[in-house]
Amino acid sequence: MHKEESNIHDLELVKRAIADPNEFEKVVEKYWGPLARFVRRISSSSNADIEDVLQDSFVKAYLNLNSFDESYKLSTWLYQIVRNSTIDAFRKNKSHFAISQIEDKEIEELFASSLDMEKDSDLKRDVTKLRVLIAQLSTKYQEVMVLKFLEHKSYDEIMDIVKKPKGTVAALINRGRKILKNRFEEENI
Amino acid sequence: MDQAKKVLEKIKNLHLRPQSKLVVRFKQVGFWVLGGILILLGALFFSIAMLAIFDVDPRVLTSWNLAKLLRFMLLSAPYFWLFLLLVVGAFGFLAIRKTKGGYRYRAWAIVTVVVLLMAIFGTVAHAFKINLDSLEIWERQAPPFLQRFAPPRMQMLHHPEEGALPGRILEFDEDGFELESVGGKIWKIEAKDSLTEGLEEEDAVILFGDRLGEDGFEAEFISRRPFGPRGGANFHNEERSND
Repeated sequence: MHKEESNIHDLELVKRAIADPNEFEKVVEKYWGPLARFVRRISSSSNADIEDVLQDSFVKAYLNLNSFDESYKLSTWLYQIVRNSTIDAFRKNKSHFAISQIEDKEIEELFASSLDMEKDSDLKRDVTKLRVLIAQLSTKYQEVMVLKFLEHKSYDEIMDIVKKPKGTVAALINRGRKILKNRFEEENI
Repeated sequence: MDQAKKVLEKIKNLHLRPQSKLVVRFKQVGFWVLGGILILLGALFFSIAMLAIFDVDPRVLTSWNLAKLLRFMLLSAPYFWLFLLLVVGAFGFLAIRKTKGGYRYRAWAIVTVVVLLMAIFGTVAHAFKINLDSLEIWERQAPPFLQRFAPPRMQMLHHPEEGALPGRILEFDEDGFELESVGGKIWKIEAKDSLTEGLEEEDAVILFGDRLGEDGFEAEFISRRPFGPRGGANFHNEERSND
């Protein structure tokens, strides 16, 4: 119910923003924080770069407000735009996905939720090793795992954000988990 | 919030406005229309390529060995049309992938649907002889440099050394008949009476059998083919394209 209300509210925001650009400020205010966190989680960009990517993304979103599909969640649509802008920025800077800026507690969370483990002191102790394990994962796994286990997006949402079929998304997440689990055991952490 | 104000400022300074609904709708429908057009084009190329199969008398399956059959198929395959089919198929796939929500489907599912639609519409085009009419237009109007990539059907099937000789019957004699093949060459054909029954001078035929020397051919069986005005490749075109 809460989600539905949020969607209705978002739809209303979009409709108002189409009619009056000043209303778009509310969309930016609502989603800047989560999107900035998302970009930080999947890139090694500086705060200034993140701000540039987000500004660019929100301008794109504004220009494309009429193509927003009501069957999507506004957040999903914005994540999709931000992800594309981030990739464009990677291309410009010749960089790539890197979850180097991810915080220690996020590393623990990623491991705990992806490997169904309890967040315990052992995980805390070995967080540097865990960081290396995640960094060794291919970027295609890193991205979907961040979306699933840190951003807590559903498979449908991830499918729409990364624009890949649901089956592919599920396979990437499963394979990513398996690789992490195997390395976790091999390293005897 | 500073960032929100900055975004708004940028929007206002650049006098940006959301893209109109009409443009958005046009873009969304555009990829479906493009995909549809490419599938129909692919179906046409598929149906033209199909002619290469229907041109060959099914009796070759029982009289020729597999190696000979494969060699003949490789020599007479409609590569140009198959290449075009592949190109429009690939672009059709990409167009559907680019539609709104196209990414939700697995690549193999889209490929299967595209191939199936091309095959179905291609069969319909064959049933209504759209392929023959299109080929006829192609052979009459396409520039010669392009026609080099897609020779007329008679020329494609002209492989006497492999046992296939298309041509036009000129005159009957006691051993068989004389045949004019691609390029105006005259062949002396040996054929049993039972094979020539019902055939008339000027008939377009494809002979399957064995080459005898420079300009002789022994027919094992004869296939009558519609190489006339509705046949996609009449002799006048043959001669013109071979000159």
